[in-house]
Order: sequence, then structure tokens, then C-alpha cells
Amino acid sequence: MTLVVKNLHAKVKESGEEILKGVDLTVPTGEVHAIMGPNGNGKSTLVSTIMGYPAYEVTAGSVTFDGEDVLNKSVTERARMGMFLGMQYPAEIPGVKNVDFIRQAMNATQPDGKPVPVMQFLQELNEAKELLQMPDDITDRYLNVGFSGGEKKRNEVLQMMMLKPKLAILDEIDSGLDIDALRIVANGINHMRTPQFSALLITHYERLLEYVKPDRVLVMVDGRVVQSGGPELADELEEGGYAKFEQLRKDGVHE
Amino acid sequence: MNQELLEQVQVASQHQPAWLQQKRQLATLRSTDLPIDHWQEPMVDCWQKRPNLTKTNEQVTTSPAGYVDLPIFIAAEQYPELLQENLMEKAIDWQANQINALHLALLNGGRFIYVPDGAVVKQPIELAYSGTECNYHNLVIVGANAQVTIVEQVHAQNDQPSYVGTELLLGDSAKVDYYQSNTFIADHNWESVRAYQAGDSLLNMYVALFDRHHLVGDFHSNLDGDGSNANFKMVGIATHDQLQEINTRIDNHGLHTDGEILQNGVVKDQAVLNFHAVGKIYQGAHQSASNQESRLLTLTAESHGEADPVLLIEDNDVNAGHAASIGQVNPDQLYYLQSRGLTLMEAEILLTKGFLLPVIEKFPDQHLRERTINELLERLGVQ
Amino acid sequence: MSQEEDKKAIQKFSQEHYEYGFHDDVQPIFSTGIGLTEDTVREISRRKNEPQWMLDIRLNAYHQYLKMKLPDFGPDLSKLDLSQLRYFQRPTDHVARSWADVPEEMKTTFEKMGVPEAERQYLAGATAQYESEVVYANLKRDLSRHGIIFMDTDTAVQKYPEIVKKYFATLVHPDDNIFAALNTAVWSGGTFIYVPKGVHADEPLQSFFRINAENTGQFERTLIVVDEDASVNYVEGCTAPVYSEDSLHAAVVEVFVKPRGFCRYTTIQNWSPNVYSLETKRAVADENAVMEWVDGNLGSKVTMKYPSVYLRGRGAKGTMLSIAFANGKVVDQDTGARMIHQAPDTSSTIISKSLCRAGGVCDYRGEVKMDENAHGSSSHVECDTIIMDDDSSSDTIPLNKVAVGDVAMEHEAKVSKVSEEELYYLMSRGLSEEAATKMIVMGFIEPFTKQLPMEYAVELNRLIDFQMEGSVG
Repeated sequence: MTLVVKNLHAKVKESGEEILKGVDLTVPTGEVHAIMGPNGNGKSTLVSTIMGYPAYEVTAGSVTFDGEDVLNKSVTERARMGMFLGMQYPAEIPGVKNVDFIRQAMNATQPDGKPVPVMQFLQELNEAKELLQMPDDITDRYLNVGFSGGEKKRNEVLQMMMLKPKLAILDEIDSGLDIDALRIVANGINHMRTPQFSALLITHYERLLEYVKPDRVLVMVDGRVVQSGGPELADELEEGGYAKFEQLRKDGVHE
Repeated sequence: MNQELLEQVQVASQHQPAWLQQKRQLATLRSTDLPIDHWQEPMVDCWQKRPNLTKTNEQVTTSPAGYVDLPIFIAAEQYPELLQENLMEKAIDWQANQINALHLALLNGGRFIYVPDGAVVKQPIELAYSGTECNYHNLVIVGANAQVTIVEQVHAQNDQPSYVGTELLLGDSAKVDYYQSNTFIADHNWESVRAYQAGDSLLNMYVALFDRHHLVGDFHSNLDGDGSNANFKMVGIATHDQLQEINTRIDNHGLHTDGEILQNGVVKDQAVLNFHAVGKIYQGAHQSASNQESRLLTLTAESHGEADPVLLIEDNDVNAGHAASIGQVNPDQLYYLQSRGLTLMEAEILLTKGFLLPVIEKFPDQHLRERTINELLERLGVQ
Repeated sequence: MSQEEDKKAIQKFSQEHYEYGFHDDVQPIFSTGIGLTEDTVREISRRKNEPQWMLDIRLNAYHQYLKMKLPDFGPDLSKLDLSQLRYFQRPTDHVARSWADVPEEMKTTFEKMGVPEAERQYLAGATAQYESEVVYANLKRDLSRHGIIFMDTDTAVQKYPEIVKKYFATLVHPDDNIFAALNTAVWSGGTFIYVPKGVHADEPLQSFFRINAENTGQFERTLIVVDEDASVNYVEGCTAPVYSEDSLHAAVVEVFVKPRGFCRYTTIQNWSPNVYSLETKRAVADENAVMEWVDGNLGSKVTMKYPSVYLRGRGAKGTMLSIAFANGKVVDQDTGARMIHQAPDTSSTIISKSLCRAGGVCDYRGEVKMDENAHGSSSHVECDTIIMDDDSSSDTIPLNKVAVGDVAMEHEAKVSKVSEEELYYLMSRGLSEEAATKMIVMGFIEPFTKQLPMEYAVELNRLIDFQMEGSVG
């Protein structure tokens, strides 16, 4: 379940602007990696590109998951490979009930193609809802419609727990959450951690990483990974900010 | 009837360039073959009985630097090709209906503005005019990459119905900000502002419909070139037994075009205000957008009107929507304001301002914003 | 189809003797044949044994029809030749087709939708009668206990002439439009429902139960009267495609809801793509009455339908919930609603959802009118369209006209293709593009489907599912 990104270059289709300028990273199976960095430097673009968001176009480089090429696959296929992207701004789908959608998505990603039995589904759903301390009616509401920012994020984590991906990529799952909600969401993520599960977390603040201890921390500046280190790198950044990386960005240099 | 009129037109235009004489005569003759509806009738009737053909005393003031600004008949002599090709052809089509044809036939004044390619005119050009012309016409041609702000304030002084027509022709990547606030003294009047836009051009139109008489308004843009955008923002007030019939339309022909119409109107007493807004996206105009918002605030039980936004969509790769509402002042808001010491009248005025202000606030020029707000307050009878 | 089968079918389904004889080598011929004359109208009335007043209504309408022209707006009706239609049919005219003659596409649709065998034959026109007598008998007993009258309109003219006479053609006048005039002249079949004061019909009344060859047809006339404080739910049509030889269906529906009464009229039509469905549906709601139209137009060649509610009494309420699906190049769905506010404190809601693909056209034509008496009234209109591909198009043409100032009228519309954002989101969770598209479409029409009786909702689900197949890529 190793994710390998090599020299990934990507641009915005409509404007032609290049955002990713040669990203290299590897997330081995069972590890949690955190990507940090100033806003507007390509973190979201990176994960969206990995998941096949139509607005971006890859101009060079490769992405493989467990040795299999990812970039030549459709969005659907990437999900069925076991990848999950928790989005920063999840779309609202009116008229579609949360529970119906989760059920259908689960059935679509079952390895043996057989639908999950109803009782099992409901049980898992209730357990996940409880763990995430979500109100009962959340599953009967329409998918993300009228959800507060925090509710949307928790709904992403709920889906992740139900779909059980091999690789979870979470794009600023901590933004808009208060302390309590943050702890709950972290709980959900930690609940998934097994030797077969990998995660790539984009965080803006360091706080999430106090609860979900990463194995590795990467810093992204100007469309590239400019530094990587152990969990202590996060503490460093929390204290010193991104100032020293600003300099690196201005010089166009990376380690 | 037409023969008599024809003779009068011949006399009135005798010193004008040959091409213009012929065009005016042709328009006179053809007019009765063209379509007419009940909105046009009162005016057409009146003009045919008592045509007003007096010409203004046109004088050329010092030529401004960087662009051309001339009275229209003088422009007809100095720029015959430009005018022959563009006067009431591309935007306001003289052959579209009777009133347009007669407008051309009985033309008695106007301005010609020509901003050459690349010119950026910093100072707003004021099309301010106060006179007795019934048929006053402005032709504005803006070249490629040129920019200009036009402020039109025509105060018609004739008690005969008047038609003020303005054509805006925008070249590639031209940018025009157009403000309009005209007044009349006749009972029935007609206003037409029509634009033709080439690729990547931008037209922002801000119209204040604050006159106190019956008015038919016709506002239109043809987004012909790819990437062209038109933004119409209109505010109107109708009081007493005034009738305002406002027709607005944007046609999206090119790719990536965007047409936005925002109209807020207030009606009082027994007045009637009708907003008809149409956005048409033609097939092939991929990735285009069309949005219309027409809102009417009714201040009295007898005031009323129509808000009919229409979407005609032939392409699917689009973003289109519209909204309309007709309704009264929110009684909770009225109550709240009164409970803080305002009289009913003061509260109403505040809420009316609050209804129109969001649109006026989008006028980018500070002076014009203030001027429009003052006109609004005056119109509401507050100052 | 052989002569033998022909004979057998006719013998099986006809209920009466033939006055015109029966020839071995040709099909029975009736004098009414093709085209419409005053004699045809008289013949129709005579065969039904109608009282003079009904014949008078027909003749009056016929003369009105001769004076009228086709509508000057909407879809192209030039290929509809009114002089070529058969205006009077008996069960024997519904020549039973053999299952072998049913078009393949229809059979496949039935298969995919899981329509039961017995139903398939009926819907395909291979039998002229649905075997529902037993079910219907029980229902009839229940209803009569409460005094609810539910029968076909022909029988109602015979059995309850006072009620019919009081209401018939008082809401939809023959001069309203040419098809209303035509229908009033040659109508046959349709539903008649009368619900007495204070009575609530618990179960929905379904047109299905009283259908048989005698009373389905092109010119059904439906009359529903809901007396004070009573309520009824009427459901007609079905989601499975119905093959019709007749190319014109011009039904007229008149609904009267008396003070504090409630009526919901649900229709789902899925005509084969040779059918012109040009219906006039009108309701009037008195004081504090509620009228709800639920309208699903899933298929036809051309549909022109603008159900309306005249809010005549103070506090009356009108609702329209509709979906239109224009699937294919020849399809033109021109639908909408009209809410006419004629009294104070009335309210109306219109929610319209349209989908068009493969060159289909779906246009919304609506009208909200508030006259001088409509003080304190309110209206809310929401019409959304999804144009699924480049070949299709849609117009949204609302008319919002108020004659008084103390009202609230709101209207919103959106036209777009299936949202790329939404597609991406669903696909990123493992759904295929097709499944994601279906899900978005079902979500789009959900406000409509959740108002349907369960069986219809399930069928509708399956139908859209099937129609969407192969719609992607």
C-alpha cells in the first residue's frame, strides 16, 4: 500500500499556471505522514491531483500506489484501488440521503463485489457515528446540505471509517473545528490506524498532530517538498513559523 | 401621410451628407411596413401628426485629446464611413420596428464618440444634454483595447414624447463603464441602450430609472465575441400613476461569455413597474453564464408590476439561473425601526433606500454613486 | 396476426352485438371512421345513451372547436393532423396485438424494470383489459360505505346526472383552447369522483382499478368534486412506458375543492414517443381549501401541460410539484403550472424539475398572477433544469404579474449540466461515473419522488436507472 510520488508536475488546466513543480514523496504502508506549509503553496493541489480532480493536469512525473500506476486511472478506479480523499470543501448533493450514499459507496468498493448486508452496515454505521459523536439524524439528512463546516469534516471522517480505505488523504480536516471536535476527529483517524493503513494529512496548524502522531512531517513550499523530518519538525514549525522556508522559496532552492 | 412627412424630413436634412439624407428618407418610407406594438403606438402617432424636426445648433467645441467627440450631424460629415456603417445598424437596428425607423427619420440631435484602439480615456465623458430634441441619438465606438467611462444625462425639455437612443460598439478587449440617468417632461418616452461586443470586451452598465413619466426602456447587449461580458445594474422608482416597462436582454453567442442582469425597482401609489429580463445562450456558447435578478418592492397596496426573467438555453455547458421577487417591505423590519423612534414614513424611506442601495453601491465611481443616491432621495421626496 | 386470432380477440372483449355486421375477411367498419363531423358527435352521444343536456354541451363545443386555431406558442404541432384521427372507438377498435408485435425496446424496458408478466401484456396493448376485477370489487365496497363515488365518467352521467351537470365544463370552457373544445365534443371515459362532506378517503384512489378498454382513450374527461372538509388522493398513470396507437391524448381534468377540502392529484405519464399529450388540467380551490398537483412527465413526443389552480377563496392554497424528462431528439416537453390568486391570503408553491438529454427539449412555462383581490397572498416558484448534453436545450419562461402591492412573490431558477464538482465527489468515493450521474439525477428529482406512493417511487427509480444507462460517455 505504498504511495510513491515522483517528480510530479501539474498545472491548472484553464489558466495554464503551474502549481506542482516536481513533488517527491513516499508514504510506506502503515505510516502516517503530515504535509505542512504556507497557504497557496500547492498542498491541496497535490492531493487533488493524486485523486484526479479534473481542474488540474499532470505535465510530468508519476504516482503509483502499491506499484500500480495511478495517473492513468479514472477517479472511480482510484477510489476502488483503496484511496480516499477527505476534501477541504466537500460538495453538497441535494436530494441524496447521507446514509443511502454511504451504503452505495461501500457496496461499490467491496473487494468481492457483494453488497454489505443491511444489519452489518447499520451496526458499523452506528458505531462510527457514536465514536465521532455525531447526532442520530446526520445520516438521514441530505449529503452535506446545510452542514456546518465542522459537520462536513466529521462527515468526511465518517465516510472514511465506513469505506475503510487503504490510504486516507485528508485535506485540512482540522480547519474549522473547535478543540473538542478536533479531538473527536483525531480519534476517528487513530481508530483506523493498523499496519495496513496509511494516511497523508494536510494540516495548517500543528494541533491535530498532537493527537494523531505522524511518522513523518513534510514541508511543502512553492509546489515542492522542501524538507522532511520526524514529528519534531512539526514542533519546530509551530514555534518558528514558515519564515525560513519563505527564504528558500524566494531563492528557489530546496533540500 | 407619409408623403407629407417625407417632404418634411427632406427639408430638415437637406444640408446633411447625401448618404444620411437617403437613409433618413428610406427610414421614413419604410417605417409603416415595420412591426409596431401598443407600447410604440402613442409615440409613433404623435410624431406622425406633429413631427419635431428642429435641429440643434451644433457647435464643435475644442477637440478633446486622444478621442473624437462631435455632435452627430457634424460627425456624419467628418466620419462618413464610420457613421454610415454603424449608425443604427449593429446595435439599435433602425429596421427592427416602426419607432426605431422614425427615430432615425426624425433624428434631430446627438453625439458621436470614437475612442481609437488602445486609447485609455481617464476622465469620464459626459453625454450631458438639455434641449428640446425629441429624437436624440448617441453613437459610441470604442476601439480594441480602449477604455472609457461614459456618463449620460439627457434632460429632454420637449413636451412631445422623446426617444433617446444610445449605441455602444465595443471592439476586442474594450472596456466601457456606462452610467445613465435621463429625465423627460413629456408623458410618454422611450429609452434604448444597445451594445455590440467583440471578443473579451467588458461592458458595465448602470442605469437609474428615476424619471417621473411613463417610460419604455430597452436595454440589450449582444455578446458576440468569445470571452465578452456584460453586467447590467438597474434601479428604478415609479410613483403616482407612472408606468415603466423595462425590457432587458443579453444574448450569449460567443464562448465563455457572461451576461448578468440585476434590477431592483420600487413602486408606490398606483404606479406600475414591469421588469422583463431575458438571457439567451445560443448553442455553441460553451462555458457561458447567464443570470438575471429582477426584484420589485411594492410600497402601497395599489402599486404593482411584473418580474419576468426568462432563460433561453441551447447549450448545456453553462451556468444559468434567475431569480425574481415581488413583495412589500418586511413588516418586522418596519416595526423594529419604528420602535426605535422613526415615523412610519421615515422607516419606509430607510427600507426603500436599503432595497436600492445594494445595487447603487456596486457603481464603482464614488461621485456617480453619490449623485445617484442624491437623485434617489430627491425622487423619494426627501430632499 | 391471423384472422382467427382477430376473431377470437374481438369476441372475447366485446360486450355487445354489432349492428354493422361482421365480415370474415375484413375488420368491422363503423361509420364514424376517420375525421370529425357533427354526425360523429351525435353518434357518440347516442351510443352512450346520453341525456339531451350532455349532447347539447358536446354540440356547442364542436361548433366552438371549428372556430379555433392551434396554440401560437410552444412546441411544433404542425405534424398533428386532427382530420386523420379516429374519434370514436369501441373495445373492438382496440385490436389486440400479439406479444410478438410489441417493439423490442418496450420489452427490454419491462424486463429491466421488473414489470410483472401480466402487466406487461396490458401495457403493451396486447390485452385490452387488466385482470383487476377482484381487487376493484373490494375497493368499490369500501368506498360506497363512505358514500364516495368513484367510477368512469360515462357511468356517472347516467347515475349521477345532477352532480355532473352542476360541474361539467364549468371550469374548463370549450373556448379555452382548441383541445379543450375538442375534448368537450368527443370525450369518452375518464374518472368521476365525488367525496361527500367531511369524508376522508384513506387510501389513494387509483385510476388503474377502473381501467379497461372501454374507458381509456384519447379524450378522457375527468371530474373530481371534493365537498367541504373532505379529502382525497387520486393517482393515475404509471411509470412503465405505455404504448398507444393513438397519437393524440387530449384529456381534460376539472377539480373542485370546496371550503377546507383537500385534493392531491398525482399523474405519472410515460407515453411512447409517437404521442402528443396535450392536456388541460384545472382546479379551483375555495376558502381554506388545498389543491396539490403532482405531475410526472416521463415520455411522449410532445407534451403541453400547465396544470393550474384558481385560488378563489380566502386562504386557499395551491401546490404544483412536477418533473419532466425529455429523452431523445423528437421529444419536446413544454410544461409548467399556473397559479391564479383571486382572493386574499392565498398561497401557492411551484417546484418544477426538468431533465433533458440526447437532443430533447424541456421548457418551463409558468404563470403566477395575483389580481386586485389577492391582498396578503404569497407565491414561491422554484424551477431547475439539468441539460445533460450538448444537443439538448431548455427555456424557462415565467410570468409573474401582480396587481396589488401587499403580497410576496418569489421565483428562482437554475439551468446547468450535471455538476462536475458533485460528480467528482461521488466518484472519488468509488462510484462509477454512471452511478454517480444516476445518483445526482435521483437527488435532483427527490422532492418529487418522495411524494409518490411507494410502488410508484420504486418503479420510477428503476425507470430512471434504465434510461440513464449508456447515457454517459
